[in-house]
Amino acid sequence: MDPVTSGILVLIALVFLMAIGVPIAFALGGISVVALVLNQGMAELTYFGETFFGSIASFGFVAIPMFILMGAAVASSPTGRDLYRSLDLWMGRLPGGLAISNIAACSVFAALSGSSPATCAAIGKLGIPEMRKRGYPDGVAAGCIAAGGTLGILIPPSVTMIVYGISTETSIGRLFIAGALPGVMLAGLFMLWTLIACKLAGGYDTPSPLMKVATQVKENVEGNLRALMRVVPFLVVVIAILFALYGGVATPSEAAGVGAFFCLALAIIVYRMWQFKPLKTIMRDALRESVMIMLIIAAAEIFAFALSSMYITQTLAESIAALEVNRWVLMGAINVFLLVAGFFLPPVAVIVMTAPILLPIVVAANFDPYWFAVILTINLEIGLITPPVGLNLFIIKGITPDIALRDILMGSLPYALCMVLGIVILCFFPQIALWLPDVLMN
Amino acid sequence: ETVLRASHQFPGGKGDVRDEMVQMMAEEVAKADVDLKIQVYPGESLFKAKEQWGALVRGRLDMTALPLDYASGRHPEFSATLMPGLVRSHERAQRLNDSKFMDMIKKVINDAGVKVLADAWLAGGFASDMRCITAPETVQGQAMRAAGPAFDEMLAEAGASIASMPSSEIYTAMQTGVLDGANTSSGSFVSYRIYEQATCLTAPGENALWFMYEPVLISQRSWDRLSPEQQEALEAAGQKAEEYFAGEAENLDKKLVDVYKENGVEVVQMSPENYQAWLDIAKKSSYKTFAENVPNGQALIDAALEVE
Amino acid sequence: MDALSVVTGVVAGVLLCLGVLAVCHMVFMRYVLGESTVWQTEFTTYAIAGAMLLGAPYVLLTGGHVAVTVLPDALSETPRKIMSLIASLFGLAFCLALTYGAWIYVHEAYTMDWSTGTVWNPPLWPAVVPMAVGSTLLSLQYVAEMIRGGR
Ligand code: NA
Ligand code: NA
Repeated sequence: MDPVTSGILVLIALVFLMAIGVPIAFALGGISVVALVLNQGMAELTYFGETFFGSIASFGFVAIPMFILMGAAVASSPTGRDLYRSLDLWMGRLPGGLAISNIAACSVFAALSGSSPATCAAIGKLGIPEMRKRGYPDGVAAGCIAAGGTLGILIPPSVTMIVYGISTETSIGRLFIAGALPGVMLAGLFMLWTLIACKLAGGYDTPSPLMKVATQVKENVEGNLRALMRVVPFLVVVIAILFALYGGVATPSEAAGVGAFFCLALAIIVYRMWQFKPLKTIMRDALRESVMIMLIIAAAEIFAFALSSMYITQTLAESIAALEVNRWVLMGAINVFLLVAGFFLPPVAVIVMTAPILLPIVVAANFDPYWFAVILTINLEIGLITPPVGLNLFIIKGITPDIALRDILMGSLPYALCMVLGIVILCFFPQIALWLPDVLMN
Repeated sequence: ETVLRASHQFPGGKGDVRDEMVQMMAEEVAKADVDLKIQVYPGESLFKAKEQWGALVRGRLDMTALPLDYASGRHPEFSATLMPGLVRSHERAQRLNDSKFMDMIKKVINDAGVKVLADAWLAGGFASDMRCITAPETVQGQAMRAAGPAFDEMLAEAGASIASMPSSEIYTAMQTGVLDGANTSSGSFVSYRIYEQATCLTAPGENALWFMYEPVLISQRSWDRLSPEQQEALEAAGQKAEEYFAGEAENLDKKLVDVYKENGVEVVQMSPENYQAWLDIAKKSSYKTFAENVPNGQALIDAALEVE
Repeated sequence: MDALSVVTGVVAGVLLCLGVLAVCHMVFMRYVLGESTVWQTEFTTYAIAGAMLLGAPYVLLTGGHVAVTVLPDALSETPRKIMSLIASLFGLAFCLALTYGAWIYVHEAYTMDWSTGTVWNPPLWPAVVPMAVGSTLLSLQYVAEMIRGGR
């Protein structure tokens, strides 16, 4: 069978399997087994164990569960709450102040965690009920957390940047720094939109009467300072680790391991979480998310192997490279492709399967690989808040089963547009992504 | 038309000699017009570097250009193809190809169900930003990255501290002081721009400690499927690639020296006395371990050292 | 069955922690003491890979493997049950394929005495066993879920 036909058949089978509810990892892995057996013979079944093991046992990927564990240690301790209270106090007086401080909390937490769903869950658990209590409509409450949570993979550390770095042999430290400023920019755009949305609707914050706020401040200022102080050690650890990474002193896996160790230790010391139960929660959360992500990565690797084996990847890459189009038309087409892929697949899967094909094309068209990583990441962030597969949507639904999916989607949509705007801005000013790495790394 | 799938880990279409070797064979076979096509998958775009041997043995993969040491987990004998001091120079590598030593290695290869199409020995050296690496004493106190277990062991015995990492990480590791020195192939020293970090290079020269065997291999099962004409064409292509490589390998070393000199890096070579001193250390460390762990290990080492 | 999945989940958690500790040990040896590091990289890689594969049945038990449920959710009772049965059968088929391949790999690595071919050079089979055990339990857990779903 020629590569084009088999490619289309594989795609149809994959969409069908995912539509009937086969977990993504099993759908990707299963379709690859079937394709390999049909293409290469029954013997492929015998080698499947070796192939699968090879795709999961890599020292580079070790960083992923460890960064997730680091985030879980912070999230399961009361750090999120402390962070949240302090930010709320500072920003509470703006229109939509609470929603804005939620986005700020997401950004700070994104710097502590490598994963978007984890960021979304950590801040959302507190933020969404609080916002609804104070009269925000469900859509805004859910939307700003869903969107703010996506920053988890743009603001370093980031599991997807690790996967990109490994798949394309680019420097993970440099990728991390490249994401920092665009992450702050996106957070700014999110806040700006929240401000506008709240103004338009006449201000959603039923500002707890000014007097009440003032007394709250007086009462709580001491408690809040103490709460803030408790967050500081975590931030110090994370900043130290990121510096070690950016300076190239340590590899991502080393930084992640040490970071996970210290954050776990801090959670135990600062919050006195030495009992078994909170530790169990940390381990359970970390294990659940990292197993989910790592199985998807392994399955996506096998899927990529099957595609390459049937010469589908190469045929696709050749035909894209043969297109003699303007480089911006090419970039536009790639963006649309990534957006569509992001609708259906989690970010890590998209990166494993497409980055090795896309990067050579993008570099040949004279785009910077680190800039492209940021563009790719923002596209996949949009995918996190769009159906049918939006990891952040699943998290929000888990926190507040009573908000209708439609409301979550309508609330998230403007933030997705903010991300598109972010991509456009980055196309005009690539320096937003490239300046910081250039300054920090020679 | 018969299609053979050839996989390797080196960048495709960018002038890497090993990629060129395989591409050249593909062209030659196409020219021979025997209904045979070699489809090349460069840069780990099909199998990962370390999975290639297993795939080859089982006939999942038809051809590969592979550092044979990668398969030493399955055939410990292969460690001898990345053993310090066994080769010494390109001329000697040529003589080694027709020696009892290579007969023994190739027997292991053949028994596993694989056939060699083209021999290739790649030289390498040392670089350091602490002090030039010549005599064994010079590595004392240096944090080093070696390119294989046998080298690790020998360097550790000489007093270096060892950090294992892929060659792609040498640059940053030297930049930040995690490493003082490194040991890898001439090609990698150039392509990873280590000259920006090193102050002294030990070029391969006449007394090179570091050589690695990276042959082009074909699965016996795939070979047996070919018609006699196809086999003949493939063998001729392999011969041509082997000759091309032998010429290029020395050019790689020349280029290494030129590039490092241009960038103001001091370039030295090991003297015969340095070489002998290292051999003595290797005999106490990596050779000894090899002989203990591999059934015919001592015989292999003796056979290699016997070659003039 | 559920209890078994929880047990392997705990083992997975322990492996994850061991991986973290091994990396910290490596960093301490390499950067603080400036000594050689031989076994840590490999140990961590296999510990983490093992943790991920052993954790898989537990994650299935707690419904943590991401799936698209938009279409099934929109259907009425009977078609949904049929659809979920087909989906489960396919998932099970994948898990069985993995189980089969994994045990073969363990068997080969053990009988042919494969090692990892590095300085440390440990035997390969213990690194592969978690995949075989994990995928076996994953298959069993799938069967358990199907029985539960069918009721
Ligand atoms: Na992050
Ligand atoms: Na999506």
